[in-house]
Amino acid sequence: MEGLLAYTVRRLLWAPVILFIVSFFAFSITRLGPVDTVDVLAGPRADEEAKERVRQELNLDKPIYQQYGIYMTNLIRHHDFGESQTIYRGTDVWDIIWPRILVSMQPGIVALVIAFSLGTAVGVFAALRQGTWMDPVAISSFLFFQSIPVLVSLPFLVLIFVVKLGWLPAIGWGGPEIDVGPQEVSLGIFSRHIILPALVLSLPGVAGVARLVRATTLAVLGEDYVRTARAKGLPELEVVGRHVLRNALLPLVTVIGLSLTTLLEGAFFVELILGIPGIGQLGFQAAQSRDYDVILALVLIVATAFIIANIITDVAYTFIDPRIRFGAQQGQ
Amino acid sequence: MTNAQATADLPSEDTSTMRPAAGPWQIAMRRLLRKRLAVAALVLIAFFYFVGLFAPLLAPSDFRDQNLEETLSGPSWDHPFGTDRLGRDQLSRVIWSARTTTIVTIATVLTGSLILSVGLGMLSGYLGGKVDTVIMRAGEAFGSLPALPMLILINATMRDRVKGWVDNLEGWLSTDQPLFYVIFGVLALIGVAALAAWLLAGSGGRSGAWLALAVTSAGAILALWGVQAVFAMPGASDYFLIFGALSLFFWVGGARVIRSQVLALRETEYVLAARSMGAGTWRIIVSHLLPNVSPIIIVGVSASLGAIAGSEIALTFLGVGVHDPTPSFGALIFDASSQPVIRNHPHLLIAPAIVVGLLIFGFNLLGDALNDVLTPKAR
Repeated sequence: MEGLLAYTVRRLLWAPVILFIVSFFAFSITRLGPVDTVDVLAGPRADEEAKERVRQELNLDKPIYQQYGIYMTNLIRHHDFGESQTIYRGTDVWDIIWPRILVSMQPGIVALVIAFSLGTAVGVFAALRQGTWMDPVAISSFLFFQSIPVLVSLPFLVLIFVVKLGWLPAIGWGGPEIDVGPQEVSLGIFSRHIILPALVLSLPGVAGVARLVRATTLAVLGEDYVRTARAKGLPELEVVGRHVLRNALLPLVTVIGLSLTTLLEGAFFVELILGIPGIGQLGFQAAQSRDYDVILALVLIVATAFIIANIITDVAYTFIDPRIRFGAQQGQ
Repeated sequence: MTNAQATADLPSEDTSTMRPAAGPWQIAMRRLLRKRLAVAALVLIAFFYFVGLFAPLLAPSDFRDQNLEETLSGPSWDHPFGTDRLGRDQLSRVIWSARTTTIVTIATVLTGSLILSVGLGMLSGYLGGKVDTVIMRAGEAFGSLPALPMLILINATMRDRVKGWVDNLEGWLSTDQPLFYVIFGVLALIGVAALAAWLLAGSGGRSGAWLALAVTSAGAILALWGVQAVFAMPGASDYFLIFGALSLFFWVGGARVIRSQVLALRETEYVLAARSMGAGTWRIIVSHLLPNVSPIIIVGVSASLGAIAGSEIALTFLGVGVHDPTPSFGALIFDASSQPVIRNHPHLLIAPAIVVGLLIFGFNLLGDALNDVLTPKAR
C-alpha cells in the first residue's frame, strides 16, 4: 500500500503548486497584459487625477507579487473575486458567475450521461460483434461526429430542427426557476431547450468512449473467468453484464477528465449560438467588453475544477482497480 | 515488408545488380498511398493549402471590397456563395480565410509542434535530471489546464500590447529601413564567407562547422525575409498573438511522446557506441536520435494540425482571434450562425461550415492513417 499512498500524497502535494503557477500566470496576464486597464475602468473622459485614484484603488501601483498577494488573500479569506468593471459594473463577480455555472452544468451533465451510456452500449455491441461488418460501422459512424467541430454541426442542426422543421424552440433558455441567492436560475433541463445542447455536446464524445469500451471489453472477453462463466452455462446476458462489463468499465474513469475538457470547450459555442446564459456566454461577453476580472475569475474557477478533477481521476483509478492495488501490495 | 527487409539484409557487394532497397520512408509512403481515404484527405488538404497560399491570385475580389447595393444576396454567377451584410463576396472571403488558416497552422506547427515540442522533448529525454524535471513539470502545468479559457484570457488581455510590439518590430524590420538591408548584408556576408572557408579549406581540413554556419545564415536570411513579409500583412499582430498562444499549449503532448521515445533510444547500443567514440551531445541528438523520432514527429504534427486549425477558428468565433476585416472561418461562421441570418440567409453558413467540416475531418483522417503507417505498434 505504501507505493500507492506515496503516489496519492505526491499528487495531492503537487496540486497546490500547479494551482499557484496557474493563478499567478493568469493574474499577471490580466494585470500586466492590457495597456488600457485604467482607461477602461476610469471611463473615457477621466482626467489624470481620477486615473491615479483608480490605480490606487486597484493597487495597480504596487509590484505584481503584492497585487497577487492581496487578490489571493481576499479570495481565500472572503471568497471575494472582486467586482465586475464593465458588463455589470459594480456587481460582485461571484454573484455573476455562480448562477451561470448552474446553468452551464445542466447541458453538461446530460451530455456526459448520454455520451457515456451511448458510448458504452456502442462499444460493447462492437466488441461482441468483432469481425463482422457491424463492428467497424458502429464505431466509425460515431467517429464522424467526433471529427465535426461543434461550431460547424450546431448551426446546421439549428437550421434543420429550429428553422426548417420548427420542432425545437428557437433560442434562449427556459423551464422552471429556482432561487439561488443573487438571482433566479432556470432549470432548462426540464424543458425542450436542453435537447439541442445536450445532443451537440454528447455526440462528439461517444466515439472516444465507444473505442475505449470496445478495446477493454475485447481484452476481458479473452479472460479465463469469462470462459469459465460461459462453460458453466450462464446466459450470455449475465456473462456480459456481471463478468465482462464490471471489469471492462473501470478504465472509463480515466476519460471523464478528458470529456470534461471537450464539454467545457463545446459549451462556449453552444451557449453563444443558442443564447444560453451560462459561463461560456459570460466568457465571451467579458472578453468583448474587456471585463478582465470576470475573465480572470472564470479561468481560475475552471482551472481549479480541472486540476481537482484530474487528480481525483488519477487517484480514484489507482484505488478502484484492484489489480493496481494488490499489485502494489505484493510489491512490498 | 519481408521482401524489403531481405533486400536490406543482403551484403552490399551485390547491390549493383538489383533494385535499390526501399527505405523505411518509401515503404511508409507506399502504405499510405494504398489507403484510399487517406489519399483523398491528402488531396483535399493539399488543395486547401494551395488555395490558402495563392489566395491573392485566386480570389475574384479583395476581402475588403464592399458593394452596399448588393448586400446579403443569394448565390449567383457573379457571387457563387452570395454576399454578406456588407456586400462582400463570400467566395473571396472563404478563399482569404483559407489563407488565415494556412498561416496560423504553419506558424504554430513550426514553433509549437516542431521547435518547442521536439527541442524540449529531446532535451528532456536525453539530458534527464533537473532539466527533465523542469520541462516535464511545466508541461504538466500547461497540460492540466483547459486550453480554450486560457487562450481567451491571453488573447483578450494581451492584444493591444502585442499589437504595439508587432508595430514596433515592423518598423525595425520593414524594407523601408536601411537597418533591414544592413542586417541582410551582414548575414549574407557571413554566409558567403563561411561557404568560402569551407570550400577553400581543402579536403583534409574541411570542418562541418563552416558549412553549418553557412547554412544557418542562409536560413536566417530566409526567415528574416519571411517574417518581414508576414509583418507587412494587415492583421499581422493577430496572427502572432494566436500562434504564440497556441504554441504555448500545443507543445506538451508532442514533447511527452518524444521524451519517452528518446529515453528508450538513449540506452540503445548504437547511441552508446557513438558516445564511446567521443560524439558530443549535439551530434548524438542530430544524427542518431532525430532520425529515429522523426516518424513520431510527423504523426504528432499531423494529429495536431486539426486541433490547431480548429482552435484558431474557435478563437475567432469567440471574438478573440483574427479581427475584422481580416477574414477567418470563425468570423464567417459567427456572422452566419446568428438566428436571424440562419433563418433568412442560410447560404452564408453553408460554404464556410462545409469547408471547415471537410478540412478538420481530412486532418483527422490523415492523422489516423499516418499513425497506422508510421507507428510500429499499429502495424
